[in-house]
Amino acid sequence: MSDIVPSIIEIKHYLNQSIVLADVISIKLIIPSTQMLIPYALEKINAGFPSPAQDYIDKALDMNEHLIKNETATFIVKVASLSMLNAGIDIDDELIVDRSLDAKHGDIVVALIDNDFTVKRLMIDEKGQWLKAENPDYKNIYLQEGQELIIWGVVTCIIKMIRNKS
Amino acid sequence: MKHENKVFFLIDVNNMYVSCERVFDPSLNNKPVIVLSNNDGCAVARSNESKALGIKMGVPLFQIKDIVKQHNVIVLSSNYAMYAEMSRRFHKILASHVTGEEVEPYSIDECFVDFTAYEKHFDLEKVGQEMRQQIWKWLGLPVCVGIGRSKTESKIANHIAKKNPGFNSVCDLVSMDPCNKEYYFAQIDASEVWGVGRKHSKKLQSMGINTVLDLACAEPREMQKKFSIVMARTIYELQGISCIEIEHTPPSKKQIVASRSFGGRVTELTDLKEAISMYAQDACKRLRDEELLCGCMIAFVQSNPFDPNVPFYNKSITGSFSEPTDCAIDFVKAATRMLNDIYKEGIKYKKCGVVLTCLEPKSGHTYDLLTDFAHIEKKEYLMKAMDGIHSKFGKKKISVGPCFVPNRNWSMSRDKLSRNPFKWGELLKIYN
Repeated sequence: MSDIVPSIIEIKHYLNQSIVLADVISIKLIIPSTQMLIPYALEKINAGFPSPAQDYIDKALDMNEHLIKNETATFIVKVASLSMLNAGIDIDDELIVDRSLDAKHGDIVVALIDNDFTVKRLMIDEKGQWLKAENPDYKNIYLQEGQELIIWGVVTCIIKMIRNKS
Repeated sequence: MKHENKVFFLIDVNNMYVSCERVFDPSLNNKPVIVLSNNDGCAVARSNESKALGIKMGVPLFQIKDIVKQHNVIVLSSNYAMYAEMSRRFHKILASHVTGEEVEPYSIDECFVDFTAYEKHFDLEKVGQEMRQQIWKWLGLPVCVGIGRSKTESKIANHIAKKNPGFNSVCDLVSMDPCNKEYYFAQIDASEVWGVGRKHSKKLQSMGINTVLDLACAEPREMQKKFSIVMARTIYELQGISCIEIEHTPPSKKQIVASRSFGGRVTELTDLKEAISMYAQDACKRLRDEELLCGCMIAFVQSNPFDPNVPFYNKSITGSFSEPTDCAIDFVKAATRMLNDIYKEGIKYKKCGVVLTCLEPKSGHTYDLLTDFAHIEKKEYLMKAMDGIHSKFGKKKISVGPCFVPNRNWSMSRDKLSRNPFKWGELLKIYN
């Protein structure tokens, strides 16, 4: 409940602003949590005034719902390699990995080779399965005799913090 | 209630803690690994490789020092936060196969599923294999599945699946040929049966009952006279007659225990007081989460029971509250005062803790006439404020006394703690 209160003030603020940017279609309250809490207390305080929150609560965006399709099989990992830089994956980016998905040709996957983690693009062709690095400075991984490729999970999303990267 | 046509699954994660560690650190695969109890005392989980080296469940680390060194056994501290999250997911996946009424999370790594309603439409063994593969794929955890006409039978089926690789981790006693079933029952010691244990096995042996088959063939009513209704029920269950239902709501707690061993040896009263005040607050938090009041508190201290050079010191004291309470200040005050009475100088303490008993639902408590409600209300506001701070800023931000100041003399040692991949600061890192 207490999390929502400041957002309400923000909304009021937004409502008073005239929207000039053409690509902003609507502004919605974002609650980055799967728990949508309805601010009962707030309505009490505002008794007599129509609560501006009421119209907006059901339009709230839930980031978990948006980014995670299968919560029980989803893990988040942090990248410490530049080998997928050209696919947009940089050091310290976080990846959302869904283990319930079947990896297809072209998917970016977290995989195990000789019990070591790696993130690469999965390629399936006449040579069989191999892992493609998306950075010319890094080598692709072709399986050696006796080596096994284990798909740990399929990457569905990159979380890239573009400000305050500390 | 007896039912002859029920179907139960028991799904159980193999070596849960070790398997969880391996999901996030595959370099542990195929190596002997053990996970230690709180404070790195005893081995509470062992990989199959460690079991093969003869490391027994619950053995103190110092007793297996040589094996650990000789075979490069990897020793880890227990990472309960991580295991709990994996456990939640494990139970959630299983719950998705049936309705909420039909699952019973039995422990952190075991789950009963009542599949009776769906039996006709499915090949049970295939369902078991699908569950196993799903949990393996989604979570990376290996499980065994036992299927039987009763909970007890599903437990035995699980045991059979674990011990006999030919079953491919799923054993279905419902569809098994009776002759085969007898063969497997005859191989398993009666003490392995759920609810029997070592306590009764001596008496059973004296009656010529050694194996599960012997027990299943016993006459339940006769056995009820010699043991109890529980034994009779167990026998019915082994005969495929279900007597124990899925339990949905765990009975409300009878007691809350908060204790831990110390990282180092503690000798000073002030250190003990700090430690016990933290355990009292832990216990209080759990009490409040369950919305209970506590009428009685036990405080205890112990020296190291494994130290052969000094006698084991183990003392406890009980105190009751004039009014049942759920206020941390009351608990800390009581625990530290009680400690004065059981503290003895010159002892190297290894463990202390509190037990809260005489619990009752907060909603159902009747206060007596002389209760000072203003005082109770004041305490409740204070506790609400503390709870609020804890949930908003974390548990360690405010406490009664200095117990959350880091690096106390008594802090837990968890030298080999793995990271918790479910925390933003400790995510699994991929270097390649």
